[in-house]
Amino acid sequence: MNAILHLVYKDLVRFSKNPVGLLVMVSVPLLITFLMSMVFGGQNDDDIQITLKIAVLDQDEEMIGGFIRSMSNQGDAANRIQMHIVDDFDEGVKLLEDREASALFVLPEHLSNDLLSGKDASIQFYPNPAEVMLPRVIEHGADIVAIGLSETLNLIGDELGQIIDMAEQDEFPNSWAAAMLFYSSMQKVERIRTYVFPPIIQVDQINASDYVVSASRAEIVMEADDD
Amino acid sequence: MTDAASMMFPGMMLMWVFFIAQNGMNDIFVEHQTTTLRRLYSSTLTVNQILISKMISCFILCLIAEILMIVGAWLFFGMAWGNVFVLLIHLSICNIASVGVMALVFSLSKTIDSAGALSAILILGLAAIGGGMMPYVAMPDMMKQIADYSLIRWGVIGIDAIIEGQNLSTLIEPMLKLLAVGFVTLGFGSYIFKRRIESGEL
Repeated sequence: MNAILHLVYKDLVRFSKNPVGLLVMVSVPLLITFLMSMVFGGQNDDDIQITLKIAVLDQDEEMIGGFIRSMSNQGDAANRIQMHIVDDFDEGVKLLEDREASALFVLPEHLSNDLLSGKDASIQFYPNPAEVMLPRVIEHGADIVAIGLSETLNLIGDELGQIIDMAEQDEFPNSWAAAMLFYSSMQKVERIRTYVFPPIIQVDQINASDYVVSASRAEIVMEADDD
Repeated sequence: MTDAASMMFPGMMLMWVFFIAQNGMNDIFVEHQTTTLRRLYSSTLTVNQILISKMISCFILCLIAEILMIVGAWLFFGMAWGNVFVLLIHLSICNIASVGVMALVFSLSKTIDSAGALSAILILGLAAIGGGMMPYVAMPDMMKQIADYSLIRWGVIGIDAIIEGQNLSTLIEPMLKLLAVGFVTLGFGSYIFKRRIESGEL
């Protein structure tokens, strides 16, 4: 046994006289992991900020178009949505090709008039074929906005139409009529308020770092992304 | 950074530990070329003593490298390693497997060059399918099924379980697999090396 220990000791002493090789072997995986971490994320889940780049061709140029265009400046969306207003369809397609946008929306002419007069309307959505996830996220977001907008117009579409008509008149609107329109709209909103606000179900986000570490966590995150 | 590192680093670390074990086993061929091995054999030392000492020093080198890498990952990536005592036990078992596999590969190789090439292919193969080069979670399903047969994957499963603070019983299966492979390959490797040294081939 002593002989074995003596040989081991001599081997280790020999290695310790030239530790560069071992130190290189130790530092390489650290370096590769550092580089790969930088490539595949390189930050904690909490810090991940995804910006949705959306091109919009607004052929409507009225109330609904203006509302959609202003969405990227409001609240949390201001940090998460980057909207490019394009002048023509080709410019929008160019943005998709250059991967400057994940999707292109075309708001058709007379969109506001059609919706306010109760006609069905459609907004064209062009996902970027070079991307997988972000166009789907934008599509789902657009579906939610479309539902919200449809329901809002179903509820107070008449009043909105009258307000727009009033604003487009040359003469200054009658104060009493404007107040009544506003009051009527608020009455309708008030009727549904108890059903909509506050929501009785809340979604609480629990950060991955609070429940699992390493591989299994990434699997959960990826599965969630796939869903 | 911590999340990505904790996904990638354990597999990467085990891959490089295999390379360190390869270097350790390489020493037998180097000592053969410098006639040190023959001089040792002609002394009062037995072949078994020479081989066991080589494998123990190789094992210790791997362990030293792992400790340095663990400290490095903790310092640079802020990685939490869980129960360090259990981790060192698990890594020791990984080292037995890596030293054993390298001992078998080198014992079967005629020359130092062929041993180096064969062992490099084996290590890279084990790492590619076992999560040493890319995170296991990013692999397609078919690769994941193959990964279940990789020593590196078994090692990573154990390290992940320790990092996540899972029940220690989850470590038993990968540890037993690694130990089984380690002892079998160490046994065969030592036997073949012994025969080659005694026959004068080494």
